[in-house]
Amino acid sequence: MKVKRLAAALFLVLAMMVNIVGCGGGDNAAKDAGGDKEKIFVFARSGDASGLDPINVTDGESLYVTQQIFDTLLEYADDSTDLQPGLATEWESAKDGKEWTLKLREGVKFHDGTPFNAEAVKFNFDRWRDEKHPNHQGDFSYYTYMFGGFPGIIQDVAAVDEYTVKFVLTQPQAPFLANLAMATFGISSPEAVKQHGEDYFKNPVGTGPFKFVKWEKDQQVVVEKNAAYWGEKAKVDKIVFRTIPDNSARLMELQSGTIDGMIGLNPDDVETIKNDANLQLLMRPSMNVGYLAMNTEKDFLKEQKIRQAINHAVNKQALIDAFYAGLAKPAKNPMPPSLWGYNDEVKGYEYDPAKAKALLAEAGYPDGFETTLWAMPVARPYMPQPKEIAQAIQQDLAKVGITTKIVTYDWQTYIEKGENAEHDLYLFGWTGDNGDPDNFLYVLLDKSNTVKGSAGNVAFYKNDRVSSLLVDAQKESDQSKRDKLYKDAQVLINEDAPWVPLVHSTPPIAAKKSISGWLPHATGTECFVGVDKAE
Amino acid sequence: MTRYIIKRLIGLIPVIIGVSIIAFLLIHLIPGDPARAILGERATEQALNSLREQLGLNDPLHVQYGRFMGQILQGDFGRSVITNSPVIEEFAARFPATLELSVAAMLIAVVVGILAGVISAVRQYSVFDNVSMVGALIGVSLPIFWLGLMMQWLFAFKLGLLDASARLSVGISLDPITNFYVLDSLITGNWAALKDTLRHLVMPSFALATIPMAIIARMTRSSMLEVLKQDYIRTARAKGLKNNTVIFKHALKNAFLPILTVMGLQFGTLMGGAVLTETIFSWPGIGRLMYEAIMQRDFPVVQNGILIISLIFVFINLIVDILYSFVDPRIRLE
Amino acid sequence: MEALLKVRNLKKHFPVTKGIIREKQVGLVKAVDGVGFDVYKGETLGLVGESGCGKSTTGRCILRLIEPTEGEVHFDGVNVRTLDSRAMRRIRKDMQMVFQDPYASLNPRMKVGDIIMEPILLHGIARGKEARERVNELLDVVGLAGYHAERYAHEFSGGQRQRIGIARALAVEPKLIVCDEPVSALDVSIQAQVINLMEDLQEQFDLTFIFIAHDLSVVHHISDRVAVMYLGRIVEMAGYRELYQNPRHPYTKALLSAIPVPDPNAKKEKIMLKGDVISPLNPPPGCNFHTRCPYAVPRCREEAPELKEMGTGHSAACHLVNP
Repeated sequence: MKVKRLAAALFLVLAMMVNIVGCGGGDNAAKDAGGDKEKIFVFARSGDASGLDPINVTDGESLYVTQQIFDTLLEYADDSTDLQPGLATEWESAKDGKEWTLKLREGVKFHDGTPFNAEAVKFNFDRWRDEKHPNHQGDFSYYTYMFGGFPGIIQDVAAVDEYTVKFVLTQPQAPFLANLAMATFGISSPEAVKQHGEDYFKNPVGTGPFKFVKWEKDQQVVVEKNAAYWGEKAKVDKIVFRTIPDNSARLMELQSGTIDGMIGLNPDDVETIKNDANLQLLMRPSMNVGYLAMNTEKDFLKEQKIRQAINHAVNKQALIDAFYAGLAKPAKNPMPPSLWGYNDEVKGYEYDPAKAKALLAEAGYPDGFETTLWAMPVARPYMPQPKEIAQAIQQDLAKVGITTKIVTYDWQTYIEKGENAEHDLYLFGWTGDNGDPDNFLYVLLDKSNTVKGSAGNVAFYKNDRVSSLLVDAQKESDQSKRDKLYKDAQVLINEDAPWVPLVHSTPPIAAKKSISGWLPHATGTECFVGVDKAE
Repeated sequence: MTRYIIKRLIGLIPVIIGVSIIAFLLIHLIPGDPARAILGERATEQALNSLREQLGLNDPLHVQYGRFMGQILQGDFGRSVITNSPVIEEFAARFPATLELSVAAMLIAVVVGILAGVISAVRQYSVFDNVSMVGALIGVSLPIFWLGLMMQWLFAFKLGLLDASARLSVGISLDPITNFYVLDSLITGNWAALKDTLRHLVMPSFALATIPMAIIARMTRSSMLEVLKQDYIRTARAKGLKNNTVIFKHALKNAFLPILTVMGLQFGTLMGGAVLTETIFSWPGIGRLMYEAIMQRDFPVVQNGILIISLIFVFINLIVDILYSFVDPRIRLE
Repeated sequence: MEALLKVRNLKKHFPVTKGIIREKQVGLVKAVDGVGFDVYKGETLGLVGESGCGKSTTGRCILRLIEPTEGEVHFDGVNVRTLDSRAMRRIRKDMQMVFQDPYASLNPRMKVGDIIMEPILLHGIARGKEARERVNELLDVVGLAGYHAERYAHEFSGGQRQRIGIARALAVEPKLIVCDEPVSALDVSIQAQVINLMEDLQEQFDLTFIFIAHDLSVVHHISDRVAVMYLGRIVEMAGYRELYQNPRHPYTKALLSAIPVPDPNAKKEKIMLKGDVISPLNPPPGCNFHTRCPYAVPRCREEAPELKEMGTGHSAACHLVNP
């Protein structure tokens, strides 16, 4: 019958479509065009880079790429935030830390062939800090965060000779060197910046182990091995940074083998990876802290004993098991253990509702009290399910008699109200920038950061002894002395208990078993120079 | 005809003004400070102020709107505040991807939808009819992200027949000419790339096609049922024509007008970018551009993007209206 | 004289069903219930009855545009009902139909020329330029002009469209044309023109017509013989003069009395029918007409009358009339 023939035609069309496409076979395509034995490391994440000029980006998606293309003056060690030589080989300070002189690596060339030298360093810093610089195009946000605006604390950068550069600061900044190691302060080729102007973010040129090849928006960024790299050369020929927005789709690609590694896993998928013989799970050391800030200016929360009681009341391990898929460590200090200066001697407050009740009674509230518990509206690595976490804490507190009402606002309002001290108990968190303890303790708990409207210290915690320790540590350039100062500060902070430090989350990373040499770094991005792929 | 088109184009002016006002206001209605959203949680007050100044956010709304329209009239669609590229460039870079996907999806939807609808109508209440209409109902109601993931799991992961994401495999190179990869690979005679492009195109276009396919099938069926009752169909049979000729030449042609309307609307919708499909299949199209721009409060991209998408939509509708007069000679465009 | 068309015991029953998943037959509409007649070459048979009596269904069953339930249709010596779809399409060259509604029966998406040309090409009567000339001729024959071929049906008046319909039917040089109320949708003034045209064409092309109409006044002009149908059955059949002058069946009499007479003074027996045509779904036993018949006797409610010969070429189905 006609209709049958029609139906047959319909299915034929379908079958043909599948066939045309199917006949390629799974692996042929890659081999057909891939050419000889090029080693390509395919890395996937959820979003595309927003730009490839490291100073003008703030997102990990972009920094992951720029980290491969650019070197910084100092570098972090592979497995810690300790500093080591990068483009600068030696450094020394003078005048109480107001002057830094850096010796630069000789014989280094940018990918465009121009030489790297003191003039190039000066050009970069001048471009970043001077709003009138002809190539000051963009936000330069991270420059303002780390150095305090334009020009900020960097008063002058001088090329002393071909390979010596001198920084003059308006005031000492202890984490100055740590800042220089941040991926965002990668050194660009002055010629390339001048040549491309506003479009430099599409044509990055650095000195790093990989050279920029191409960027197809929302699809992929390709970099290739820099055969003339000054350090140990890259082991793979190319890295392709692919954008696969959906977490499940990305994992499926990893399982089917079209990508080699990925970040951004659903917590539920961790088990899947553990059970897959072809895959491995890597853990990024934590450089964050999720915490419950207690507004020390409010009734009840003014009382140290009550704050300590709340600390005893919260079951951190239960939170980690329930909401972090076990991929976090309970926190006792306001900074993560991967940072130097972390005080492991501090005991913290163990989960003990009975003790919490006793403390409440001591404080004069044996029957507890009522307050509000603020929950973030957005998920962050340190707070994957803020509402659910708030509910769990609410139940914990109820067990010791503290009744809480959960409050939430949109993200901007949440931040603004927090900075304005309108809250009682406030869930929040912080991800470190430069791996310096100052970047946690001073920013989050110093009394100078309690100005209403722009407070970073949302517990409004003001302890003069802590503050003097933190300020001293900023002025000190001897790291062992700084280490001691921060450890002391943590003891005091622990006692005062302005926060309930909740967790340090360790974001999981998945890769094929055949990938080696991938060392996830606490800062959130790492260089893939050591990454290799077994065939 | 020319007069009609000119009239329609003039009629677009109030539409565009309306859309531009909505696009402009929309971003101001979203809670939160755009400057803060752009610069991040840690921006200093000083930096925020200078950005507000730079974007003119401190001016009264009507001044901002006037500036916005003034720039557009000069053909300046602004620059993205996130990437700093011209908005028009951001769009141009992604438009071919969306267009290619939409056209492929539309082709599938039209071929399958019309065939299924025709067979259903000719064989009303048959098993095929029941199955395909229930299928159409399911097609309309299936969540695309679920369908997309299932397809990826089956065709890419389990069977390895198709590729799950992006437009080309890593390692396949293709010289972009038009940025429509199917065309480019044909032009350059790059068969490996063509094959690879198709392998990537099939799943997202099928996923995207499900809803229009279902809608077209249902519309075709009801329209065909209507037409098949008409006397001229009996006339055609009385002439001694073959059944297929009667169905496709006489009946379908007459049933086509409402189908064309649906097709136009669906295609217009697809052209706006299919956020979910583009996300699941990592398709670098304008749906995702818009989605991310909204998430990042990228003012210029959102505002001008809405405007550009609306223009495309309106333009497609105009084309459909013009097509009407070709499909149905009784319609005179005046 | 050999009949061109013989119809015997033709039945078309439509089942009435209920239910969506499993259909259940709940009734049967006997649209055509045992119709038989002969049509001779060159003559016109008028088929008359109220709407719903099955006259159009009969016409369509003859051409197998609807598949009959039962019965035989012999055309030119061929049992039409045994033909496969291919042979059936071929025989449609010889049997054509002109439809009732000239507005709906022409494809609105096609130019008039293409509507007429399509069967010419299909049946291989002519090709290319010759086919186009033939279209022009046909348009000319039905009183239209060659340039009309480039227009669409909606650009014509009702009468013109029916001429197009006729041209289309003529295009394949058929032997038989079933005219299904070809003028009922037209203005009275136009009706006569179209009927005159058809009479002319019959003469010119030696055509045989079955002319379906719902009142006797129309077929009167053109028919050689007339068959009157009521609820799926023929109740009376006779030469047209005989039928008009000597109607036997009460229904025929009623129909005839409904025809307006030009002379207001003429005396005429008026037969008024009670009620409407009853539903063909589950008709009553006995004579179909007994519910409305002014003369009905008990027998009429029990026994269905046979079509009986009343005289030469005159037959009627009524218990109350005898030869």
